[in-house]
Amino acid sequence: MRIAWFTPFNDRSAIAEFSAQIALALSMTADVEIWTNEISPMSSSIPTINYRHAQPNLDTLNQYDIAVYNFGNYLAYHDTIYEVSKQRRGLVILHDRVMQHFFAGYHFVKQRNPQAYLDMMRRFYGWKGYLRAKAGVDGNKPGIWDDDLEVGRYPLFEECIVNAEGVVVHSSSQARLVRDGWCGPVRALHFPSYAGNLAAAPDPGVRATNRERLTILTIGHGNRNKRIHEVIRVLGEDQALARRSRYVVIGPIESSYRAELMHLIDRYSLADSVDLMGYQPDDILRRYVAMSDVFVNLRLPSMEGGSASLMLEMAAGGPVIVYDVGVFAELPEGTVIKVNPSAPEGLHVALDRLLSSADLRVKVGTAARAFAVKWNEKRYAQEFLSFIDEVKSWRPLLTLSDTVAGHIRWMGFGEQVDLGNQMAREICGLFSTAVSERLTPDQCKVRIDATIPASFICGKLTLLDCTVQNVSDTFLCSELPYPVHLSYRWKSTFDSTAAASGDGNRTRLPCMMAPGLSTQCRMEVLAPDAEGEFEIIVTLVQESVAWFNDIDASNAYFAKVKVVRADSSDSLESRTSLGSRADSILGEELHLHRPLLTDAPRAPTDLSQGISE
Amino acid sequence: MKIIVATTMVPFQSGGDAVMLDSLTEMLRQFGHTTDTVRIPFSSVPADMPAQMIGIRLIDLCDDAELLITIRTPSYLLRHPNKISWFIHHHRGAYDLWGTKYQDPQSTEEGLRLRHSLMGADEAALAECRRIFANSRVVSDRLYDFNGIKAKVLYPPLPHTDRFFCSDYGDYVVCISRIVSHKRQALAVESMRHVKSGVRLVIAGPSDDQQEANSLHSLVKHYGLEDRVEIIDHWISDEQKARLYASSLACIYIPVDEDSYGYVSLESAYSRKAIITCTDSGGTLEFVEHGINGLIVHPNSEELAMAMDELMFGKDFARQLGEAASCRPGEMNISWDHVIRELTL
Amino acid sequence: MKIAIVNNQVPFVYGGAEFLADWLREHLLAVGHSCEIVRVPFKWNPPHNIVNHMLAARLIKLSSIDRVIALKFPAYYVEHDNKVLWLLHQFRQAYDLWGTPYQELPDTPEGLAIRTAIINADNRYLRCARKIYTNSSVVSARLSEFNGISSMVLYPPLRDEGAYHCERYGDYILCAGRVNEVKRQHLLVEAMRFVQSGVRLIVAGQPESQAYLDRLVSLVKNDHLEDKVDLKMRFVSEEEKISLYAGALATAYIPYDEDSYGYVSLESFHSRKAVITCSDSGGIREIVRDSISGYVVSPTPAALGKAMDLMMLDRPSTEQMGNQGLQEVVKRSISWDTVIRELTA
Repeated sequence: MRIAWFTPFNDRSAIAEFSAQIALALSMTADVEIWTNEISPMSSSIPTINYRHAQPNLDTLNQYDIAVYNFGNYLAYHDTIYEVSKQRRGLVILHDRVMQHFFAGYHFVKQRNPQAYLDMMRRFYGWKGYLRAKAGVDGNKPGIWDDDLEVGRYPLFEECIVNAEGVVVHSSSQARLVRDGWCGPVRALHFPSYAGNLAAAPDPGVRATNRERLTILTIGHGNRNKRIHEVIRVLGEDQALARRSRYVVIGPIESSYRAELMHLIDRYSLADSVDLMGYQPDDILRRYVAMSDVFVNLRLPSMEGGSASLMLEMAAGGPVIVYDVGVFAELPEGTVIKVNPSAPEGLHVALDRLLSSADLRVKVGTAARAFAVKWNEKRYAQEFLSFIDEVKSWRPLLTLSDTVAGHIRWMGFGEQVDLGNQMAREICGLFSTAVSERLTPDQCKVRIDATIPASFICGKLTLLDCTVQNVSDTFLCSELPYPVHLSYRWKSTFDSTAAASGDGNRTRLPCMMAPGLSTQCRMEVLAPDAEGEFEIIVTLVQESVAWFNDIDASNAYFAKVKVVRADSSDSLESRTSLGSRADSILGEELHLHRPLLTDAPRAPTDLSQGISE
Repeated sequence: MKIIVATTMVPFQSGGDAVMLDSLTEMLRQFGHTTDTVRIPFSSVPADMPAQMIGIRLIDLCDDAELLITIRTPSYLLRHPNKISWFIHHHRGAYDLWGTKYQDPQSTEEGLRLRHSLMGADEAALAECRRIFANSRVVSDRLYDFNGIKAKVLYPPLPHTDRFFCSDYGDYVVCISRIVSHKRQALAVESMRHVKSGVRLVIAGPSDDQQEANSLHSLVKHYGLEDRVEIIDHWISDEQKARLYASSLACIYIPVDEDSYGYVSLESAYSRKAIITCTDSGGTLEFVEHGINGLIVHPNSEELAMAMDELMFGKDFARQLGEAASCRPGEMNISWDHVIRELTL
Repeated sequence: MKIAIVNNQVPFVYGGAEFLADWLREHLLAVGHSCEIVRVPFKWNPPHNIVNHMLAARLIKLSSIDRVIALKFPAYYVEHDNKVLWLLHQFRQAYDLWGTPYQELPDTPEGLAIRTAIINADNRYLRCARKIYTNSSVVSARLSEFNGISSMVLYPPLRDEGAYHCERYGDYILCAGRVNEVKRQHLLVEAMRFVQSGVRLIVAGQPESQAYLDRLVSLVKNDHLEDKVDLKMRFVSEEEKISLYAGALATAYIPYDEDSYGYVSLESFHSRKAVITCSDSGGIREIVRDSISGYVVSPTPAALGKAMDLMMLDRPSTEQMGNQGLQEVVKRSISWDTVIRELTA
């Protein structure tokens, strides 16, 4: 198997280090080539192709089994990788959850086209996203990338994976986010520890001493979200704790934050207890890692995918204090100390406990190291290779959808709203195992709840929210040969015979419903043409077989409503999708039918196949 | 050469294009080519077209033949490195019938968008063709006016010319065509009211729906023309058709705004009979030259009656026009030799 | 009813399924239905073309059709709410040929995904038909085993059942039909070395490769069988074939592992001639039973020679088995009446 591995490849990038490690592990069983455009790439035994001085010849990628694109939030390291990935489908590894800085930089600085950034925001986040972004561009509000809260709301990682064949992330929560909006294979893998780090680590027992002052260490870029100031505050308010410890921070700190920290240190008179060492060369860093007693690795908000620094610390066998968010929350209990970020005393308690008990430090450190040993680069490579097989098995579907999307675009049908949806449904239908056979009456058992307005406008279409629960022992889905749909009937209250205007419009079930499953739906309801008092009966119908309410009235939800003539303003919720349809490569529509592909009644897929004990 | 002739079809509806396809295929074989036909069902409801068109694009015939000849719209969507279109007509509802009561789709927002897309798709597909031919000047002009495409006119020859002959110039004018309103058999019947020469009218042809045939019969009855007008409103054999032409005085063919001159014109020509047609008949005007091989009159019953009388009273003239008509296919290079040579160049 | 027979199409290939579709149409027309054959192009190389053409079939829109009779993959994916299947072929490469050298799909995750798609789509879309028939119990068994779908066997009759007849029981064993390695005519020729009763062999049909033709010719030559074996290695007309059957002593049909019993069996039994076949010939054993309607022997020249001798030497049995063969046909209601009744129910 030949893999083209696109990555930054210099001494400063954590992703470069990751790539070097994983590419080496992969090359035990596969042929890996690093593709980079560094000025001075790091040295490596892995074959490297440097495309700095020439546009990469993308046709040669046809000879590889797969191209892998490593994405991170730093523009200079990943801009050409992004550009190549737009032209050639490949497997995307999302190292960061947030890509706002990358895309803002790409469009403002590199392309000098802020409108493209705004279009991107509109495409993924609708008008709300567009307006917020525009406020940032116009200067009325800070840029989204400067707002810790907003940046999590509008991460923009979606743009990285539009053209992907598969996505690897390093946390289950991010896998969920990806799957929410993208149709294709996704795998969550633990960020790996590196063999070198494991080898270099001292035995956890050696570390546990009861020296006068224990060393607390935080490493990495000193951004505000690392919450260094909170550690300092804890030490400041518990001077006894401060006297027993020495808090070392290694890594460059941005100047205004550094000033803030210095101010705090001053205020709390912690000059003896806190040492902001700034950037240190690798050997010094590793010495400190080896000899520190406690690690503090906080992120709030959590913007990375996995954490290289965390794995380094766990591989070193040290107890690590983390916030219970993001990828840190997914670590097995006992391997780290998790602190609730909203509980004010949490960090203090954690530090105190660890500094007071050598046994606890050994226990947690040992568990940490065992975890790191298990999830090393070899394991990562193994899982990665098996994921490549999964990606390959999706290719026929994605290739077909590319082909069809190409035809749609070439013929100029991009504006036909329902066409993309119809194509996506047919394509997913070809690859889906879902079959809906004739149900027997006792298999038609559901409970329905709906939010029905008191009045409807004659002849107008409305969207209603409802909940459907499948209380039968069989699967229900809107698939051939006998699809089960959500629908309704109108009954005039004066005339007990049914159907004022025939059977209702059909709404597809949003997913394959397993027995017991409850799901939310929005259903499309067309009001009768005549005014008057009606009863609406919301129920399910299996085409060519039966209406569920005919079998048993408890399969329906009833409500008495008024139908009135059209007045003035009545907003009709538009169902046209956001963004430019001509841009869509069936991605959005395919995603709508993803449940067809994944909810088949065989093995239920757990959300994170990679991360599970 | 290995050649595929492809077209779209509507099940149970077979028009002139089916005859064209069959005769082209047979002729290609006679000229030594290995030929197969691909006939793809296609519904011309505009809202259903995009999905069907995608289906056509998904079909792969690229390695199956050295040449792909496409006939009816939108079979030219088929992918092939050596593709030729012998274009016979658009989906007229979106083209020359747009803005009339026959327009299709309707002028809703969605319909306008759809029309725009359909025209764009046609143009993109035709641009892939190595050569584009049209079956008449009328169609060629439309391709240029609407799609900016230059197509060479390539007239479809008659499948079998040898079965047509001339026995004499008799006492009836023949009108052989599907009985349907736009062929205007009714107008021909009306003209018989004004005829003075004793010439008769023989109308022959199947009807798509019995109503059309019935109303024609009623028209004849209404004007008391039973002794002058004979209606054969069912399918007739090729031999019967040839015999009707053979003994006729002349042929009358007066459709409204037809795409091409039609096989009728050729059948008359090979039977050595003049053709009476109208100024608004469309494609026939490429074939018929007034006073040379036929008569072109305004579409009213009096002028049509006068034309028929002229030929009845002057049989020599009728013969002269008829002889000239028989030369017309040659003059216009309407032959299978020519067609096959152009298509397989 | 307006009936569309939907089959797939490989350009320039016209085989058993295509002929069957033609005959079905003939017989449907004969009882008053309107019938058209719709052929959907199919290509399965490279593998992505398989799913492309499955989707193309799904996107076809058939309008104004009362009933669809679909015959093969992927044409049977065509959407219609009144569809019956007369299943001649699934895509065997995904089913019983998977895991053999004939699977054609690559052994990669992509190939497996395509195989899965074929099976899934069959599982769903085959169930959309209101009734499923197959042309043999082998095909029905596969459909049940792989897709869990039950079906009824509807045997394809000869085009013109009445034409085949018995004139006499002559002195030759007839092997008619396609001539190739799978049909194994070479074994029959070799068997003639062992024959002692004076019975002759006539092999009639178009050889499908020069190599195989040469092989048969040299077998005859090397074993000096010229007066015992008559090789009619050319296209044989229907009349000639009927006549050869009419005068034969018995027939032989020994293909390797075929799905269905083959038309040869029907031709033989309608001519009241017993059939020699082999234990590994496949579907034919449904209808030819040892010592009842023929002889079933191991696929060796010696065993075959012995069977041929037995036919010659024990004429009463041979004639009786031939007559019994006709009963087998009657018993199974193998007739166009049955076919049409079922498919238009």
